[in-house]
Amino acid sequence: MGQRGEPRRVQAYDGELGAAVARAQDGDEAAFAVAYRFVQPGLLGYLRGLVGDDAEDVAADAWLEIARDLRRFKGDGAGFRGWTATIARHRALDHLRRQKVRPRPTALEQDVLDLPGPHSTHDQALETLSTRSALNLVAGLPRDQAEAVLLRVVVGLDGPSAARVLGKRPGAVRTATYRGLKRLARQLGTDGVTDDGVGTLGEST
Amino acid sequence: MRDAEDGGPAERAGAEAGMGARHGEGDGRDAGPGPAPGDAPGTEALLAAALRGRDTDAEGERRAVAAFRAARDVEPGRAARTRRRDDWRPRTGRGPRRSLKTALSVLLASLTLGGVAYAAMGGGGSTADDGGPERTRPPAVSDDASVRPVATPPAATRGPGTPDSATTSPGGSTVPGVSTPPGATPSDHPATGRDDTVARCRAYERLSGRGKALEATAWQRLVEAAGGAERVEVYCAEQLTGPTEPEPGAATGNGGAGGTGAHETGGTGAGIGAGGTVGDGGVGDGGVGDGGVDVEIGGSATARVPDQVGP
Repeated sequence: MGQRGEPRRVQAYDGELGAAVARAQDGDEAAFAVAYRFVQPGLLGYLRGLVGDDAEDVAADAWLEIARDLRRFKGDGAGFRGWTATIARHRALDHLRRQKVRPRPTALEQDVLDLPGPHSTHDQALETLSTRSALNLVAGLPRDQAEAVLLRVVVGLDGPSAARVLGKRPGAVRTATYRGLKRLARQLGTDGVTDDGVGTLGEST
Repeated sequence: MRDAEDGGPAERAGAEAGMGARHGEGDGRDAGPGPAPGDAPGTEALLAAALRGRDTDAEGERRAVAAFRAARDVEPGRAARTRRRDDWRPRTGRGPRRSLKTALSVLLASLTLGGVAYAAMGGGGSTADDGGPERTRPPAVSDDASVRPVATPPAATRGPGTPDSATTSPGGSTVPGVSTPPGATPSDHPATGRDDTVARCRAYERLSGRGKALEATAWQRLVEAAGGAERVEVYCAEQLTGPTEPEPGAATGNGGAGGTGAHETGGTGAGIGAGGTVGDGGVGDGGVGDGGVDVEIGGSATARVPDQVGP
């Protein structure tokens, strides 16, 4: 599947992650810490997109549940990322419900204008694209696109896994990812470059 | 790892400091799963770089590990049930395996059912011959050989309700009105291999008055077997009473048949008796049939029965 563009990079770590998870399921505390370090960055990024600044609290809740239910889990490293993302998402939706806020990225106090303009070199963009700006960009997407993009890009899930997390059909999620990425690419001015990235996606569609 | 060592809250500060340091190196690792800088950084890479948490915060890790420890220690032996949503094993692996399993179980089920059905059908031909005796009158064949003569009369009684001989009638009570051999008490079938014919005859008996209810082919076969539409009744009577005329070798419920025949014909008592006596040896199905016919037709039966019995 062409879907695997970004996940492929993550896959190298999935074997290690899977092993750590297996050991943690046998009660190995250090292995659990390793799994945490593997997963937490992506989870946090995803949650930032969902609940903004509350991401860390929600992530903490999610980890409580992950720790509690770890022995129920069955699967490999990639599966673990999907499983944890699902738990995190539920916690995030609970959180949003409590807040009576629309389940949308909250980081909307825009500094969209601060966004880096089109850049000639990616390095430049890489340097200048702050977390906040990126969040704002993603927040500007329709929610389904935003979530699909986050799951793919940040958590590193493949299409089917992302679809399972979102409870949608893989085709719908693939389309949402593609549209979202395309739009972001335009905004980032990385069009020329991202033909690569989006092209990868396009193959899968 | 370090967390394992410094679990105490007192050491927290120090631990965090340590972790902070470690996270410096951890960053390098964390960046791994993220965009590899070497790759042409497309939109995805940019976003990933910007959005993935740069530093896993130490406090969060500590709390997660503490929760893990608590869960592990509180219920160490608990076998956690994996719910559907906890099963993230690759689908591709599961699908075929499951379908293979399904296919196998379906195959097994069909074989089982088919076997049962075949056995039931075969029961008419082969199985019944073996099982028949057992079912119908296992004791009769062996011991009742002598008793047989006695047993037969009851049969006769039973049908028409002749009270005289009714005295002894064995298990016949259970059997429905259909003329069933008393000897064959337990089963309502005349355990012969001719279950179909008999069944058809029964149906005929029940339905003959009511026109087309009989299934065409079955009816045809019956007529064929009887050798003509007009002979069906006779043929059937003989089938149902069939075993009346015992033939050596066929062990099945002859006595009973004899009884029925008697009841139907009325006067055949003698013939029946004979049948009974011989019966122990065992009655041949086919032979019996013919005899039966005669019985029904008239007194001749009586005469004829002995002949057949002879051998």
